[in-house]
Amino acid sequence: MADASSKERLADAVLLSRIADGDRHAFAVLVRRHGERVRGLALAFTGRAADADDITQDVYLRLWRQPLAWRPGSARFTTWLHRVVANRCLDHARRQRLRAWLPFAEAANEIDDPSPSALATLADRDHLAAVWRALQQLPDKQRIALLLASQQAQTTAEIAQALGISEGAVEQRLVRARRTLRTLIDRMEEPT
Amino acid sequence: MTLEELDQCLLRFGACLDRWPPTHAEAAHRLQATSPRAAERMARAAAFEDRLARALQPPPFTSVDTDRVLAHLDAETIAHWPPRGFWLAGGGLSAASLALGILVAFTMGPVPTDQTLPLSVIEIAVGHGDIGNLP
Repeated sequence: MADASSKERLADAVLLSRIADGDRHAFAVLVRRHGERVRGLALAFTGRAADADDITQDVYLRLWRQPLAWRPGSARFTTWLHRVVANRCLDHARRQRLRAWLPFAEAANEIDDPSPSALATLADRDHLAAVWRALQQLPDKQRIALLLASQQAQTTAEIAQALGISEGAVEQRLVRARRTLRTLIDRMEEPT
Repeated sequence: MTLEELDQCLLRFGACLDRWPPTHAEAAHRLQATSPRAAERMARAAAFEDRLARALQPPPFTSVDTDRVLAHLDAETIAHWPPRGFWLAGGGLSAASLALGILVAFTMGPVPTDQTLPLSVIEIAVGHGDIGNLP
């Protein structure tokens, strides 16, 4: 038990080196520590809980198979993790678009109800759902940049590292994403 | 800083001035203090960011979610057994055993008076053999 609680306090780098030795408990600690971050980003990007779970499992499977893919000193572990999740999300979106072209493809899936906090009032829920729907209409690359900034509280430099683009390109995506999102939300809430 | 520049900064860096470059943040503070329109735009941007953050609040990652990831890992590990390395190692070991067997047979066995038989076998094995002088 003492061993379990001490593992909870270990740094990510130490956990990863233990995972490389096949330590399943170290892996569970890492899953717990970053689960909300990983699944939260995937859920906000895809808009569907089932897709977010698939992406989460893919990301962690990769982490289990290649725990030493991240090298301490290159970027923070969370930045590297964001990069892995973002790539999985963009791959997922690409596959969804390809699938839509296939014959007998399933009809486009509806996005899930964001189910915001139980404390939210009904009107508030409508407002939050409008944001959620508008977000799903943003182009993929703008959406992932905005999510990293707004949900994951990443700086422009960290987003640039995670997405493998320049800081200028990140700012450009954020400007477009915020502008489009504001317009979409205003339009959704206009009285008909 | 003009109102247009303020708008642009709000789109680039968001509504939280702590995350702006310091010179831009100071300029925005000064503008906000003197211009009600600037203050109103900053308040609107802050409300937008707040709403976005609340909509994007991730659901908690529970122990059930952790167990699901671990169960998926187990399923994948079983599906990938034996790993590719297992077959490569097995093939390599078989080839090494065969080579060792041939070597032992040649070195330990009775010395043949005629070397043509083993040489023919090796030639046939490598595809250069001549089986019974076939045309």
